[in-house]
Amino acid sequence: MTLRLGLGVFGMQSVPQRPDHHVKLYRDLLEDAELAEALGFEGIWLSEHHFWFDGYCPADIAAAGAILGRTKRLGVGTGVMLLPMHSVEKVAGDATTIARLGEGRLTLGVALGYRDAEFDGFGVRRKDRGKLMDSMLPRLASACRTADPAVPLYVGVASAVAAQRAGRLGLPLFADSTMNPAELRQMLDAYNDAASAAGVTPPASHALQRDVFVTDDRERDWPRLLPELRYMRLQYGGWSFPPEPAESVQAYLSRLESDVEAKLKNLIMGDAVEVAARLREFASLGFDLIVCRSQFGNLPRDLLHSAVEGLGRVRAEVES
Amino acid sequence: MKLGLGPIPLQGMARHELERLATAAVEASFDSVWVAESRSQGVGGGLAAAALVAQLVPIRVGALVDAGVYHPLHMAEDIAIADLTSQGRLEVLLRGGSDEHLQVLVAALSGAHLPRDAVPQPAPGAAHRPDVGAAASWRARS
Repeated sequence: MTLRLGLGVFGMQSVPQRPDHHVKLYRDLLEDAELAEALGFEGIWLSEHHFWFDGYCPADIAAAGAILGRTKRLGVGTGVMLLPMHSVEKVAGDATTIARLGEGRLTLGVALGYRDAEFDGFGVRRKDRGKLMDSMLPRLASACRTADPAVPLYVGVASAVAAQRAGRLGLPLFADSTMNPAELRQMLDAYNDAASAAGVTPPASHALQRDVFVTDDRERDWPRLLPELRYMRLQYGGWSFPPEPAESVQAYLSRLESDVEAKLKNLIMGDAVEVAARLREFASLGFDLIVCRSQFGNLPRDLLHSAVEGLGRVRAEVES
Repeated sequence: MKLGLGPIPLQGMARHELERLATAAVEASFDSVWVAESRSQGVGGGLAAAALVAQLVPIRVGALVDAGVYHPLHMAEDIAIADLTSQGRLEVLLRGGSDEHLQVLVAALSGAHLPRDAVPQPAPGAAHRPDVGAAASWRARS
């Protein structure tokens, strides 16, 4: 299996510790896309969230259009769009047009979403998200399959249940960055069992997202990296694990901090050779595309570029 | 007076042809070049296509988009990102849509805080968004 590396996901956040105007952040994104293309990455991947104070990117296909206009060969992926908050017709209509204008370089990743405020904002009940996904995913898959050019479609997953839904449709997975190898194996087993029960031949390989930072000097870079990494993990943790009823603020913060510390351990950090070896372990599980996130929050540009260029060396290593 | 070229229909449009037309607009000194989606024919992506064209030419880019067929907050988000990536060169012309759609869209683009009851919600107990009635016409999921 040939391993490919993508760059992302990019959330486009103007973070409190390093605020930037969004005009600059998107100008930077287009420059990063040109760098990714020059370094030979499979693609650049975007993330989607709504109604958040730091301006998290809410419209991946619009941003993808800009990247596809700026670049000539680079793929662009959505990692992931929150499908139950959209309409199938809207997503399919946008994606098929942009895939054509992008000459087949657009890939869609879609998932359930989990943050209450986002569902509320679009008038969707969070508890209906599974049923909505069940009805929407087959229709979107059909539209993507019959489009010219076809639009590759991945299903973002962080649980066995979500993987089973994708398995029944024979759609490839885009696995969450926080799952460890044991959890990934368990999820793939559930996926394959569901595909088999549905009489579907599943794809041989899937995509995976990882937090990756390539550096030749961990001691030098860690103090600059940590505030951005912590910001990102605290934000996702707060969205994923809201306070329990009657839980004290102190208890909640303590629980949240434990989650952040646990997730930080998933970071793959090291020089190009070390990182390449770690990524090959995931390839052996059945992932042929690894989307490597090196932009956490809003890293200083020199630090991000150094990591991305290092990741370019990893790409050359693992794809050779 | 300012002149724009288009709108160029996106249906069946290839990139090289769109790039040729956009470049021709620049060479002919047009102030803007426009693209048009047609959601009734399944052709969306007008705002994303405008974002793409904005990377090909230095002039303003316009999008003729169908209002009222999907949520106005999604439209506001698409407009915001196309405007940011084009560094403020986006123009938008809406086709169709209700007064309610327009009010929510304009309020969202103004940066105003939108109280939840200002945005239409599904009926209590509804498992899916209703897709009946003009006021709910952007709820295209069925």
